[in-house]
Amino acid sequence: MLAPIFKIRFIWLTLVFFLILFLAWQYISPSGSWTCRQSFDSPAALSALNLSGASSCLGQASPAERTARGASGPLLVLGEPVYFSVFSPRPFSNVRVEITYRPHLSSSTPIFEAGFLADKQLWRYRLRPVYNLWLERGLAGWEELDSDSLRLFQREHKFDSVPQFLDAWRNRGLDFCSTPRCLAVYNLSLENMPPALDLQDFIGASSSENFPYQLRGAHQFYIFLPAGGLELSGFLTDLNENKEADAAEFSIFSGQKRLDSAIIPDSRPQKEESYEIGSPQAFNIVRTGLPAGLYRLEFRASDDLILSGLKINASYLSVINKIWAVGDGPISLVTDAAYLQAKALSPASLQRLEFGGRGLSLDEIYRQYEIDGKKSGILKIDMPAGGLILANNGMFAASASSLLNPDYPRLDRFAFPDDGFDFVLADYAAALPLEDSWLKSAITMPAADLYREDNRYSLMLSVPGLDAGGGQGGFLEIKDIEIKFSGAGLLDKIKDYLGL
Amino acid sequence: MIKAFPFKINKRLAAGESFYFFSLVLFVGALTEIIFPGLFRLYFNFAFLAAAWLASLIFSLLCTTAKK
Repeated sequence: MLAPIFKIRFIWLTLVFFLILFLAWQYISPSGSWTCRQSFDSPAALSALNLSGASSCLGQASPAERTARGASGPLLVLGEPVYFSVFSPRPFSNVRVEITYRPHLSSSTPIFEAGFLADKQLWRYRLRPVYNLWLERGLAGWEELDSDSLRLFQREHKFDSVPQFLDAWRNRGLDFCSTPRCLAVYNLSLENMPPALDLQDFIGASSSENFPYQLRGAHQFYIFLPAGGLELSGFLTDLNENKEADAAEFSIFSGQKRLDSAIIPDSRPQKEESYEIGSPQAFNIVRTGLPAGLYRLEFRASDDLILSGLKINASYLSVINKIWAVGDGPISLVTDAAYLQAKALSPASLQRLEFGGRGLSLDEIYRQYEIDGKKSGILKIDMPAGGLILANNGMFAASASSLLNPDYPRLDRFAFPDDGFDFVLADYAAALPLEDSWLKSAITMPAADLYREDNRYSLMLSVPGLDAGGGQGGFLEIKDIEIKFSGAGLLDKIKDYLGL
Repeated sequence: MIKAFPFKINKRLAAGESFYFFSLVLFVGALTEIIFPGLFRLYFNFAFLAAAWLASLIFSLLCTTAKK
């Protein structure tokens, strides 16, 4: 007969053993799937008390001032973007997000997207459409053709079906267009489609571009190498404001494929976080064997690094979507998008800029300002000094002759009614209507290369134009978010290991 | 004596063993959080466990003092 001390010790040791087994089971997730569900429909007070005592797999929405919660109501999204951290015990290869929501959006905020952080350094989220006001309700006066999830809108009847349009596009390019950029796309994979520009026209052009301004942090460029081979030079200056070492990397891409890269290590003598500005470090990168053509050049660096004197043997040099030009002197840029978003991170950068002849005064730091140019084509940006982060869905360049945009115009909230499109092609699944006018939409994407830190992914809900401060554009009600991760299960891993 | 168990157990023993139990659970929790951040906290609340550990410690000390 065992003494009571051994019996009770056996019981609690068994409990701890099962606890360890349970945690190991959750970590391994032998089924190969993991689901995180957060319902916002329970009373807020009860939810805040969190009777289960455990933390949620979906973190709190942040920033808090962009959301609100009624006494017993759903989560209200008043501004954008809103971020959630999503716990998963281990990495998975696919993710599906189901959102139950009620959109109260207007024509100035027609698009609701969600997605995960894919690249922390470039702060790039992989977004998928959740709700699109135009695609749900149709474009007024436009003919709509559907084929599976593909939707074609045409201003005037020209095609009888989506496959007919795709055949014409694939075989003849945009010959059927009366204007050069008549097709806007949304959420499409364009790998098998003809490029938006006929690049043959550019071969033989002059091949030297100097970017006259200093650029801070990571940037992406489109370049056209008319003679092949890459020669890239410039200077890097380290501000030493952050604590991490500041290595920089240049990568060159053709389509989605990375062809080559060059790392410039941080061997500068100044200490990090010393705020001691280092002397400019020259670099020179030469790559042979690249045929003439269009490339995407990616400069990966922290905000501590300033890139100056950029010189490249390209005939075009366009900065993609976002530019942070710094320096004390005036800065003059051009862009091909009809709108501009601007943000200042320091009081010294607050200023009044001119965009397409219209003025925009920036009076607050960290606030994102926006201006609609009210016209299409190439618009000029004039700033008395650098320091502003400028962004839109187009390209930026130092001059119109350097500007190259090989992308098809994207259907964004500024696309109508002035952009002169004749066709809109979108890959979009309509939202599923539920009771009480709730809608349910699902997005899926590969998750293997998503950014994950401390076992958490970063989920973003975005409604471009939704402004909590200005109360513009309406709001969203979120009732429920369910995230399903899936990937190889334990059995698949064992089979792989054994080669079965 | 505590009669809830299928065998007889005195209070002092229960207090001591519950202290060891919560100590080990907290240790396992801390170790899990170091290796797999967030996993333990997803299911268990450290504050509640720490409170239970403290209560078991006080209970155990009281029992020891009472015996003396």
